[in-house]
Amino acid sequence: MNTLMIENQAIRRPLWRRVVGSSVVNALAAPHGMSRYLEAIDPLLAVDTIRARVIEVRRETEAAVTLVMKPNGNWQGFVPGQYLGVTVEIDGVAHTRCYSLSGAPRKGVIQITVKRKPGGKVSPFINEQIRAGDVLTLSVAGGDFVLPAELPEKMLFIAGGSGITPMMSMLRTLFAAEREGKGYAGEVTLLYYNNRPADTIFGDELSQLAARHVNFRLIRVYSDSDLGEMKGLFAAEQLAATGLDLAVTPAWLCGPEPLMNLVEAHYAAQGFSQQLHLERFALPGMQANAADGIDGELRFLKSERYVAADGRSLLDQAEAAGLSPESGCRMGICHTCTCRKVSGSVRNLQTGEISSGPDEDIRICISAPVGDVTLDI
Amino acid sequence: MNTHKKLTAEQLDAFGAELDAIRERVLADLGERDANYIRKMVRVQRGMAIAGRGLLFAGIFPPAWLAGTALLGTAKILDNMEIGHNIMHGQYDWMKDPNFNSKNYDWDTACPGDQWRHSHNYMHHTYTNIIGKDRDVGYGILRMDESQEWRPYYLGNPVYAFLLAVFFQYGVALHDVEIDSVMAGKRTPKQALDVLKGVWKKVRGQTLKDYVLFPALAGPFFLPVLAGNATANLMRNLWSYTIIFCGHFPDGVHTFTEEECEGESKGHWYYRQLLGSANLTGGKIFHIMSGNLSHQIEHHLFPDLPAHRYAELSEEVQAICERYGLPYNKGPLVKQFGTVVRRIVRLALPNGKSPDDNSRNNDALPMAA
Repeated sequence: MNTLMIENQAIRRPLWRRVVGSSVVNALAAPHGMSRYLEAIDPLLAVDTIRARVIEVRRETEAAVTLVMKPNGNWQGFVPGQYLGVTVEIDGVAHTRCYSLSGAPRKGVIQITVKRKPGGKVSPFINEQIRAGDVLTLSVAGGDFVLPAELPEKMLFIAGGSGITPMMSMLRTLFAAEREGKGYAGEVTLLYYNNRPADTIFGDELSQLAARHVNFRLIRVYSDSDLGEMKGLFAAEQLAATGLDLAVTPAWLCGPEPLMNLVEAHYAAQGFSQQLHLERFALPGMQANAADGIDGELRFLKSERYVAADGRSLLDQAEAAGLSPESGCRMGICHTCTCRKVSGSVRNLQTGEISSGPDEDIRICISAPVGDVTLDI
Repeated sequence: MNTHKKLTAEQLDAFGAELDAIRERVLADLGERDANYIRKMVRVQRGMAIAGRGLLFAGIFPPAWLAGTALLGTAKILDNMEIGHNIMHGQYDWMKDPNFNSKNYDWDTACPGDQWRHSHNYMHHTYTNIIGKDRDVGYGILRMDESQEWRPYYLGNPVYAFLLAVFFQYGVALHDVEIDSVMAGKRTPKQALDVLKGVWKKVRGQTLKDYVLFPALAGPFFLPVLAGNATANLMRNLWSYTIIFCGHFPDGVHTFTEEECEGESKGHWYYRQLLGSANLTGGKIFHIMSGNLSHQIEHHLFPDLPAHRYAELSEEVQAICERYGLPYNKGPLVKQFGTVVRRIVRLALPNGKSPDDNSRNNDALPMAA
């Protein structure tokens, strides 16, 4: 049994932040709070918001970039494999997306690696517009797709494309230079799916890691190139070729939806699902378009009420379902009825615009559902 | 002022469609420019507040006291008007930034944000100038329209108006308690008490900050800081009162009856907002200091569009009004406020007429279904 412990890198907030964040000091800045004054000087000084300054922008592949960031004192650390919410401002509008931390926990520096998603909003922006010196707003780290505190003898990582990012954080932690000689003594196998070597994020670093550590086995699977250890799309034989006993080897899986579905199905068919840890970075079926019908279900979370959707405004339908959400003008000008849409798509009854993002604030008096919609009321 | 021109239902629809088009065009254009504007305004406001409070610590020296008080008063005006009022209208909700969100924002006055959002954003902006529905007509204290029946109480109209100006922030806060509605049995004392609790919490925080903590921090200079803070609050009260009373009470502003507005069309809603509001003319700084409520007409037509755009929209709105032969009420502060004062004084008397007794919308208007 390997006993190398992965410590939770919980960081204590600096003393001045705790003092300035106290209610006594904040009484001096009522009703806004001290942070609203401090951030006017430097956004990183806010004591109630995690923000980070980008200190380096590193291009990994043609379509992927790593942002190395220095977080402010509100950052409380992470466990390798976790993700965080990153908020960027594009043309005045804040957009938040979740990205896995790709570095090993290290004092004062964190990094994420973002692959440009064609047609996306945030990932192309991060790839093309973010520069050293920019400030981003972050959430606390979350997720349980992590290295266990007590490391197993053998581990299998299955990554596709940018699904490598959480595993890169784990690998960098396991084989960190400062652990030389007293590092992880077990065995890690990485099955890494990409189209071509040029698309392969962290390709060089992984090769070097594999060359330096006999207990790290790298199996590159390319669909369009012969330069890897294997070729093709996912096939069960590739898992068999690792020589691992899947029934007893904990495995971590992260990648594009089709790859994840195939691997998951294979594990389920073998009855080994309990060994498989999953991280999905795209929620299936989130997008809707105007062509979609109005058929769907309305879910009012707080009231625990579920009704079939129709074409009327969400406010009308909520009231018809017996709820009495706050409302005012019923014409979209007073913003009284604004509430959180947890998921689903809505159509603006005035402009016809469809809005599909998760966790959006919408005015329910001028929004009608398109398919299933979940509201936090 | 003559009786305003009446529009047919079709004309009202066309008029409304033109304003809708402006609104949609601006909504589609919202972006970095607006975000930068409000962020910059907040930075300027925070800087002034910090500098003002800093200078007041040296308030034993008269120039420092004057400068500190002026800066703090200006900061409070910006906080309440160009920043607080406008953010709380939802003008910047589209930024999806919690610090600029109408639901989260609160301002440095005695009135709790959530209460104000109800009485102002919803009640006042939806039922603007409908006598009996818009509580901003006289605020339940003053007689500002002849249709409010005269009682001997109103002899004190000018006195109440003056006191309201001096204690404006408390007046705005207590506005939502609707003591008059409680007296009339339209509201339960419990409802009023709940509102009062919110006000008390807010007043306590502000009093603690301006009249206890900051003066105490100044130690031996307790008094200059206390006096400076009180003066800054007074500055804000008098200024916001003056600007706000020029929004709906100058000569030429129309009021409406409930019957006139029953089932009204969007076009008539716009029409009522236009006739029920008045603008102030002035320079750029004046508009910013008034929270762009100097563009009261544009604000009432487009309450949730960023206010810094009203100046450019006002030209289009005036052109549209001209085409439809509708009045566009505007004038300099001194003139507009002068007519407000005259109205307050005249309506104190039972047979006192408002100077423009045609402003009431007496004639039945054609309504769109």
